[in-house]
Amino acid sequence: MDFDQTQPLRLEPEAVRFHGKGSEYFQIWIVNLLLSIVTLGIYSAWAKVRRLQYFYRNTELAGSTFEYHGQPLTILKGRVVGLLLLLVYRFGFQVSLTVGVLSLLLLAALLPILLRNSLRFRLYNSSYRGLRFRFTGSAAGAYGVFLGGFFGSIFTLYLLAPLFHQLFKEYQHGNSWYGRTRFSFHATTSQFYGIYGRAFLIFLGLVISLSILAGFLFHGLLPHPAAGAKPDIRQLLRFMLPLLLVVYLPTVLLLSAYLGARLQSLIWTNTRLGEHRFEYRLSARRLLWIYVSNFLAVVLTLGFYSPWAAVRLARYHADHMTLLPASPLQGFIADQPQDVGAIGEEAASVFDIDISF
Amino acid sequence: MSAAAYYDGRTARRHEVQVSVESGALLVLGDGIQRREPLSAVRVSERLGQAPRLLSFSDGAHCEVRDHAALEAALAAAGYRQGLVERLQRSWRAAALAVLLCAGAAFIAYRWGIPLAAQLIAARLPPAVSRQLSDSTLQALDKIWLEPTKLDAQRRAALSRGFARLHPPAEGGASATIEFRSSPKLGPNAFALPDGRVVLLDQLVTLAANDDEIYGVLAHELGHVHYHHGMRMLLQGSAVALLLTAWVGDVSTLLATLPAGLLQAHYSRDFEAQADDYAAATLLANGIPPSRLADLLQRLVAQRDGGNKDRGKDQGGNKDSDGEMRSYLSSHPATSERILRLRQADRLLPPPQGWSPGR
Repeated sequence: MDFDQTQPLRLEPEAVRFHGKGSEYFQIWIVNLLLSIVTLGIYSAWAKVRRLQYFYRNTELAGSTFEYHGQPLTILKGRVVGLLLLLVYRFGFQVSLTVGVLSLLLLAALLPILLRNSLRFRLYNSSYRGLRFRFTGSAAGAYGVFLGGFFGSIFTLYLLAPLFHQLFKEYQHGNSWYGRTRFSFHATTSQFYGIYGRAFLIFLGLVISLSILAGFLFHGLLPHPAAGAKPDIRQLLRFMLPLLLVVYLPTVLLLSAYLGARLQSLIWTNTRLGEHRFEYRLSARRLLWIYVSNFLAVVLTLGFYSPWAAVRLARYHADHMTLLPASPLQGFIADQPQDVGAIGEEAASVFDIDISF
Repeated sequence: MSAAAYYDGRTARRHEVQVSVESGALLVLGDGIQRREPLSAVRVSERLGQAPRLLSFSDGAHCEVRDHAALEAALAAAGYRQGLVERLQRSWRAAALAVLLCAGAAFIAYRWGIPLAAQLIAARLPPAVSRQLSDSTLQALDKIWLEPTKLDAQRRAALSRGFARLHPPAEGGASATIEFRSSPKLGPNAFALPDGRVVLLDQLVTLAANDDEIYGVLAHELGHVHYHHGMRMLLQGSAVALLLTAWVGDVSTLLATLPAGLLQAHYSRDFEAQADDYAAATLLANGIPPSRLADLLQRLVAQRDGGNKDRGKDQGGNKDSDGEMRSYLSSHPATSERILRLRQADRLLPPPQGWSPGR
C-alpha cells in the first residue's frame, strides 16, 4: 500500500480483489461433495466451512485476506434445527389444524431470533487482519424487521416490501462492527422504492411480451382435457415446459440480474465503516450475462460446472468493491483494537447458531 | 524461511515477518516481532488451493503465509503430515474418481435408494396421514375437475358389488371403495387415492364395452393402492426435488424443479407397470382375461388420437410440433408396451369354465 506521505488528504481507494480459481475450487468441492453424500449429508457442515474459507481467504483487501472461523459442529447443529423447523412447517397442517397453527406460532416466535443469531454467528466468525466482525442487532429489532416485514409485506400486497427491505438492511448493516468501529447505513426508503418500482415495470413488460410470444409459439401444446390420460406429471409438463422456458426463465434471470445489480450497488455505496465509504457499481447487463452463461453451463454439464460458476460470480462481486478511505487506512486499521468483551460473550452463547445454508 | 504477515489478534496492525521451522518450533521474526512457539501449539490451517494459509497461535495471533512451497517444505521437514482430505483436495486423480463416484451415487439413489426409502416409509405411515391427504386431494379435484356422477343408483350399486366380489390375487389384499364422479374435462379416467378409495369417472364407464373392462381398470387402481403408489410417488417426488435443489439450487431453483418432473415420469412408468401386473393377476384370479384391460387402453388411445384430430380448430397449424412434443413426453410408447404385456398375460388364463369370451 503506497500512501503519498506529503499529501495525506489524497487518499487512494483500496480495491477488493478475488483470487479464487474455478479448477482449484472444483477439486475441493467434488471431494467434499462425495464425503457429504457418503455420510448422508452430515459432512456437508465441514464442506461449508471449507467453501467459506476458500472464498474468504481468496478475498484480498489492502494486502490482507479475510478468514472464516465457523465450527462445523455448530453449523451441523444449526442444520438439524433448520431441518426440524422445515418439517414442522411442511407437515404441521397435515397432522391437524391445531398442530398446524401451533407450529406456525412456534416458527413466528423462533425464526426472528434464529435469523438474528445467524447474522451474529456469520459476522463473529469472520475476521480481517486478526480482528473479528460483530453483529449487535437486538432481539426486538429482529422481531420488528422479520415478523413485521413478513406480515407487513404480504398484507399490503408487497407494497411495503421495499420499505421493509430498507429497514432490514439498516438493521443488518447498522448493527455491524469491525473492531470498535461501527458500520452505518444511509440508503433511503425512496431509493429502494425507485429500484423496486422500475423492476416491477420491467416485470410487467417482460411477462406481457413473453406471454404473447409463448402464445404464438406454443398454442398447439395446451393440454386437451379430454385426452384421457391421467392428470399426471407428463400432461402438466407438456403445458408447463414452454411457459417455463419462454416466460418464467427469462423473466427470473433478467429480474434477478437487474435487482441484484441495482440493489447491491445501492446498499454498499450507502454503507459506511466509520467515516470510510464503499464504492460498488455492478452492471445489470454484465450480471445478466454471468447468470445466463452460468445457467447454461451448469445445465449442459449436469451441475458439474457449478464450482466455476460460483467462482466467476464471486470474482465479479468482489472485484467491483472498493473501499474509499476517509483517513489514512493504514493508521485506522492499525489502531483497531479487538473488542475483547465481545468474544467471550458471543462464543459462550448457547443459542449461537447458523441456520443459513 | 518464508515471508509472512503477522497479526497479534489485538490490533489490525500488519507486521512483515519471516517464519521458519526450527527443531519442532515455529519462529516468527521481524518488524519488532520475535516469537517462538512449539509447532504442536500452532494450528496450521489446511491448504486450500493457492489461498494464503494461516498459522494460528493460542493467544489469537496468527501469520498469513503465501509462500506455499517454502512453508510446505519446512512443515514436511518438521514432520507435519497433511490430512487425508487435504491431500485428496489437491489431486486431479481423486477429483476424477470423485466425479465418477458422485455420479454413481446419484444414479443408485435415484434408481434404488429413494424408491426403497419411500416404500419403507409409505408402508409405515399411519392411516390418518393418507386419509388426510386423500381428503384434501379429492376436495381439490372436486373443486376444479370433477362433477357429481350422472350414473343411476342401480348401475353404481351393480358396479360396486361386482368390484367387491373380485378375489384379490394371492399376494394382494387391498380393499377399496368406489367414489363415482363425472368429469367431461378429464374424460374417461379413474384414479386411486392414497387411502384406497378409487375415483371412477362416468366417461370411463361409458367408454367401456363391458364391465370386465371396468373391473380391469379398477384392479389396476387397486394395484396402486396395494403398493402405496400414491404416497410413494409423493415421497419420491419430494426427495428428488430436495436433492436436486441441494445439487444445483444455489445456481437456480428453477433448474432444480424442471428436471424433477422428468425424473419423476420414470418412477410413474414403473408404477404403472407394477399396477398392470397386479391388475392382470387380479383378473386371472377371477377368470377374466387381462386383455380386457388392454382393450380399454387401446380404445382410450384411439379416442385420444381421434379426439385431438377433431379438435383441429385450436390446434392450428402446429400439428408437427405437437406430435414431436407428445412422443417425447407422453406415455404413447409406454401404452403400446402395456397393451402388449396385458395381452400376453391371457396365456396364463385357466381354460374357460362356462365363461364365453365372445360377448
